[in-house]
Amino acid sequence: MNYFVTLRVFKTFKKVTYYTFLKENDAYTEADKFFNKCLTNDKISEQTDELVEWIRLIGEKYGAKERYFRFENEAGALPPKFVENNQLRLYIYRVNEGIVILSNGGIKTKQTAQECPNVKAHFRFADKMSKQLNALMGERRDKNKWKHNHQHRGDRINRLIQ
Amino acid sequence: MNAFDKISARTSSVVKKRVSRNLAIAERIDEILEEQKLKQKDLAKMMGKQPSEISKWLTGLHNFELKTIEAIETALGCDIISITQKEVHIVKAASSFVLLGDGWEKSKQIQGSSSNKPIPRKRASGSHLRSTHSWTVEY
Repeated sequence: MNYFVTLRVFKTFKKVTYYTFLKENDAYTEADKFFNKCLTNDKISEQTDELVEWIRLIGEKYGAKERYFRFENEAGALPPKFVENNQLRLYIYRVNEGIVILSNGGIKTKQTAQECPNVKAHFRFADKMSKQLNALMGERRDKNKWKHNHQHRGDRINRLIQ
Repeated sequence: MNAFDKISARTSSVVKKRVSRNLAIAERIDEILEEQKLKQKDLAKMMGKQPSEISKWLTGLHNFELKTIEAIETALGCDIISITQKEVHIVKAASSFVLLGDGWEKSKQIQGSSSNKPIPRKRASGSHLRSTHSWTVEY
C-alpha cells in the first residue's frame, strides 16, 4: 500500500527537536499513536514514565547521543540496548544529536521484531522510512558506521521538512 | 496536551529523580573516560567486566548500585558523585548571637556575652542544632 507520509515537529527541547511521521488521512501522528497506547496501559506505566522522562531529559540537557539508542537494521529504537526488563519499543530514526524522528512501537513479545505481532508492522514502517530518508539524503548508511557528517544530514532533514 | 505531556505530568517525582540521577551518572562516567582518553572497552578491562556492561551503564537508564559506583570510582581514580554538605549559616548579630545550623534557625544567645566583649570559645553541640556539621565560632 502506498501513501504519503509527512514529517511533523513532535516536541522541541533545548538540545533536541523530536519529529514524527504523519501518514496520509491519519488523525494522529505515529508518535502520538504510540504514547496514546502507553498512556492507557497500566502494565507498563513505570516503563513508560521512565522512557518519557528520559526522552525529555535527553532533549533538554544532553542531546541525542548514539549510545542512547539501539540500532536495528536501518531504523533505531528506544530504550537503548542492554536495558533490563523493558520490552517496550519505540522505533526512531536518529538524524544527529539534535534531531530524532519518533515513529510508533509497542511491547515486544518475541525475540525479534519481525516475529512479534505487536511491533512487526511498526518496525517495518520505521525501517522503510529510514531507508527512504537515507535515500533522500543521498547516503547509504552502514549500521556499523554511524560517523557521518551529522550537521550536513541535519541540514538536509530540515530542508525536507520545510 | 498530548499523550506525551500527560505521561510527563503524571510521572512521579521519584521516577523523575531516578532517571535524572542515572543519566547524570552516565554522563559523568563518559566525561571522565573522555578526559582520561579511555574507551568503554578500556574501562571494561580495568574492571574485569564485559564491554556490554559498560554500554549498559552509559545508557542512562541503568539503576546504579552504590557499590557499582564505588568500583567505577576506584577504577577511574576520581569521584563520580559527591556528597554535598549542608550549608552552614553563621550569623553575627549586634548582641553577639551565634547561629550554627543548616538553616536560619532561631537564634540562641550565648550566656554572658555582650556586644562589646568577646564571646568565650564555646562548642556548639546543643540539641537545637539540626546540622550534623558544627564548629566553634569566636568573635
